[in-house]
Parts: sequence; C-alpha cells; structure tokens
Amino acid sequence: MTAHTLLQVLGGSVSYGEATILRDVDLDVRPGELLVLVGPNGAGKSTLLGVLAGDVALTRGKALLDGEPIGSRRAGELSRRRSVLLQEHRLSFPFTVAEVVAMGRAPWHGRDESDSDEAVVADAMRRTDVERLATRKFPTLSGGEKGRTSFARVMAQEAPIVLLDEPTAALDIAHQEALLTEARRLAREGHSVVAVLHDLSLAAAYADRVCILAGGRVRADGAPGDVLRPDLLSDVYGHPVDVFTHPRTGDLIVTPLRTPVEEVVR
Amino acid sequence: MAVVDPTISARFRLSATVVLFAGLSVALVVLAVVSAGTGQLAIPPAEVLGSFLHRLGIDVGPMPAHPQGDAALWSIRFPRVTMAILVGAALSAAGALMQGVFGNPLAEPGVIGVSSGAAVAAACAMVFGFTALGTWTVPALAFVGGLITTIAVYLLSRSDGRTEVVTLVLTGIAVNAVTGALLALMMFLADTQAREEIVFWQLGSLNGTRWQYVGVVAPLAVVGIVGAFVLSRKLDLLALGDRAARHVGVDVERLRIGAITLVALLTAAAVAFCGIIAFVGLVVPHLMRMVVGPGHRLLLPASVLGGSVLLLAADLVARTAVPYAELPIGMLTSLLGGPMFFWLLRRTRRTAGGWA
Repeated sequence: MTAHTLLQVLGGSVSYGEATILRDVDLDVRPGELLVLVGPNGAGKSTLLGVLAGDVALTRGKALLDGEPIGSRRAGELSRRRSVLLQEHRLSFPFTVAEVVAMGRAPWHGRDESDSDEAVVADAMRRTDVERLATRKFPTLSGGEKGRTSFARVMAQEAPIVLLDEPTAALDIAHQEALLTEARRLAREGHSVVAVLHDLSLAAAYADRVCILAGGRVRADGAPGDVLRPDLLSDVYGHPVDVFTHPRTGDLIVTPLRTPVEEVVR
Repeated sequence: MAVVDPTISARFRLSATVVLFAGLSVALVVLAVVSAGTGQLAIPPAEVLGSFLHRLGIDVGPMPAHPQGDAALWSIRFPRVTMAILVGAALSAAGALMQGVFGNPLAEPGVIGVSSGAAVAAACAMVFGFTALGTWTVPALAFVGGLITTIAVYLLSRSDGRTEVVTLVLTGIAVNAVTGALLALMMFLADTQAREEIVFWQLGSLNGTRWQYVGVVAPLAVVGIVGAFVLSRKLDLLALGDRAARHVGVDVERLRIGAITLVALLTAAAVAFCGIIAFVGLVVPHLMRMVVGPGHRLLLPASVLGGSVLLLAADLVARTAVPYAELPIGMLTSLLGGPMFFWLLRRTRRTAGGWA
C-alpha cells in the first residue's frame, strides 16, 4: 500500500507546553478512499486534520506528502495538492456566494487549468445546491448555507486530497446525505477524502475506512464493520453504545443506550 | 428580503460600476479645471485648458487673458491640484489595503494612528533640522515612522487571525495617545518657527505645494498604488481568514508584510508635505464598496479615483469657503469623516451582532 499513500503521518505527536494533543499517531491517506475520523471531544481529530493540511507542525514524528515533509511545501504548491474545509466559515467582507466559490480556483490562476474555471465553479455550486444563492452575500447566509458554500469552494479547488472538518455540522439531514454522497463520489473518482464526523451512523454508511481517535491516540483503524464495535465505542466515549443492522437496508446503525427516565428518578 | 432576480441584480451592479467610473472620471477632470481656475486670480475653465494644452504643444484654446495667469497656473495652482489628486489617491488606497489586511472595514491610517506615527517621525526632521536626504528627508522619516506604527498596531490588535473592531479601535486610541504625546514633546522642544510649522502641518494643508514636492510624492504614491493592484487578488482571498487563505495558496505572512509596507509607503507619501488628512481612507473605500462590491480588483481603482475627487473637492472648499483665508483641509475631512466613522461603528456593531 505504501506506493499508493499520498499523505502519511508516522509516529506523529503534537504538544502545546504541558498538554499533549496527539501521541504517536500513524495514519495513511490513500487515493480512492473516504477515510472518516471519529472520536470524543478533545480526541485530537481537528489537530490531526490540521497536521494533514500542513497547518499544524508535529512536535515529534513525520508528516509526509508524496514522500516529502509537508512543512517544506510552499503555500501555492500545497493548494494544488489538498483542499481543506474548516469548521468555521467566516468572511470579513460581503462577497457573494458565487465569488466565494470562485475563490477555490485561485490555486490554478495563470495556469491552463483556469480555462475551465467557470464550468468547475458552476458544477460545484450545482452539486452543493447553492446555485440559487449565487448572488446572495455570504454573511447573510444561515450556518448550513455557509457550510455548503464553503464545501462548494473546496470542491472547486479540484485538489487530489480533500480534508473536511465536520462538514455535516449545521446541515439538515438531506444536505448531510448529499454532502457525504459527493465526498464518496470524489473518492470513487480517485481523490483521497478525509472527513471528521461526529455522527457514527453517517460514518458507518459512507466511510471506506474509519479511524477512531481517543486521548490523542489511534484506538482503531479499519473497515466500518470491523471498527465500530459496541465494546470499543462504549469504552472510547465513556457511554454505553449499541451497534446493530437496519432490518430493511442492512446499514450499520450506531446509537447510544439511554437510561429510562424512571430509573434515573429512583 | 424581497426575491431579486439574480441576473438583474448582477446587471445592476455592472452598470452601476460603469456609471461610477465614468462619473468619477468626469468629476475629476471638471474639479481639476475649476480648482485650478479658482483663487484670488480667477481664470475661466477654457483658459485653464488652453494653458494646459499649449504647454503640451497642442495649440488649442485661449491662453489666460491675465498677464500673470499662465505663471500662476503653472507655479501655484497645477502643483497643488496634482498634489490633491496624488494624496487623495494614496490615502484611499492605503485605507483599502489596510482594511483588506486587517479584515476589518474600520481600519484606516488616520484612525489607528499610522498617520500620526508618520507625523512624529516627520516632526523630528523639522525640530532637529535633519536634511541629510534633501527634500526626501521628511518623506523618508515619515515612511519609517508609519512602518513602525503599522507593525505595532498590527501585532497589538490581532488575535486568532483577525482583528476585532473593539481591539482595533482601542489600539488606535492607545497609539494616538502615544504619538500625540510624542508630537507634544516635539513642539515643546521646537523653537517658535518650527512649532508653528508643526501645528499647521498637523492640521493638514495643501498650501504652498511646489513641483519639487510633487516630484517626491508622485513616485511614492505610484509605487504604492501599483503594488496594491498587484496584491488585489490575494487580498480578496484573505477575507476567508488566515488559515483558509493559506489553504487556497496564499503565503499569508508574505502578503501581510508586503501590504503593511505599502500602507506605510502610501501614508508617508500623503503625510510628508501635506500633514495629517484623516478619514479619507475610511470614507472613500467604504462608499466605493457599496457600489462595486468588496473585490479589490475593482475596489482599489474606484477608491483611487474617488479619493482624488474627494480631496480635490475638499481642497476647493478649504480655499474658497472663507474669503481671504484658508481652512486646514485635514480639519474639513475630519469634520466630514468623524460622524461617518461613528455611523459605521454603530452599523458594524449591529450587523456583526456585537463588538466582534
């Protein structure tokens, strides 16, 4: 598999002073695969995504892009290799949705690829269902609309590696499914897609591979069916969790076990 | 909000942009001609144009009828008009650049104390009689003072990749307090003549502009404005925030250093001979943004043009409002810009849902 690995973290640790956020993390990101990172709050998911994006420097270990240290790459070069969707979507000035999506084409400015700018932007807006918002000013959008616009910008960037930090946050059910369908399509087309998700059933439904992080360590890394086990999840989240198959669709459903109210009262 | 056909609103913005540029260009020419013809020695517009064209070697139009007319135009009026155009353009471009880098529509060289930082350094030259670089001494010192202040404000007011309104305004108050004290110190140290010079220069004025000064300001302003145009595409991306801008390929650190240097250069160009003329960089880009949108590729040229028009108009008012006297132009722009700043502050607070 090593030959196919685009992005790799080897024994990666990140600490800020006393606090260690990641400990000895090993992770491969491969083309044609949707990798989902899950784990409780503070597990280090966003930090790991930041390491993969080249934003966060490792205190120990190595982060390699195409076999070279990611930190040595220039911003312009990196932007043609990977795109990133952050959790926060903000904009200092009231650009329109269409203008924001077109910003994703910036890495290709002055290159042959920029000939297709318009078509790529239009396609990205169609796939994220933001076409009818095209002339709206970004700051006037709802949280979910902002998220979809940002995702359209990330798609317009057409980078082989796509990193998504909680892309489904603030989205309604239909748009959550639509977004992850797009993410999976990108993977099928040969992109490497890494997404941080909180919804474990969504992870089970769309991921090719799931990596469970807890306390800054990788607790499990493998196919959803192998990794999303009740015992492991209950331990990691510190809350009883059940996993079963949907009677009709056969999908894996992950749900927390809830204590009935009467028992709590007693 | 009413449902607007997107093609209509896009077309509206396009035509509004065309009208704006055409209108500002016409206003610039008309104001320049009128301003050059206005003064103790009145010269009709046709004669102003005639004199101008004759000097270019085009023998069209009447020459000034008054025997001293041509000389007055070329030795006093034209340098002053040119200076107004240059300083207005430089201040507006500096404002637009600064707002782009700070990610905040309220950033402006005058408001946050960059102008007064440049002024302190320039006052040093007046008080201590530095002349090492000839006519370039004051602008060079103003550039250094402006650069130091811009960097200081930038470092002090930024946190987590952006500058919040309240931090920026408070930093401006603090910086203005320090530079104000340093200016006071300069005045204390100065002799009567230098003191007089500093006081009037602090109020801002285009009075006494000579071609020699224009020759210093013009290259600085042109380099600064061209530099700003070069950065305009990347400034747009910076609106996404530092991290996201880096993700789409912007070397954020380099862009910031470049933009801050240009702001200092443009501020120095404006402050060097004409003193502190505040709020132009705040008002003009804001008004232009309302018409052409926030994209810097249109905003910068519109601001440059708008700033020139505003300063030409302000200078005309300053020269003619009170007979046989000149109002300081910096006082005029502050009189206009102060309330505007207040209104903007209220509005930003409302739309941002707090002081964020």
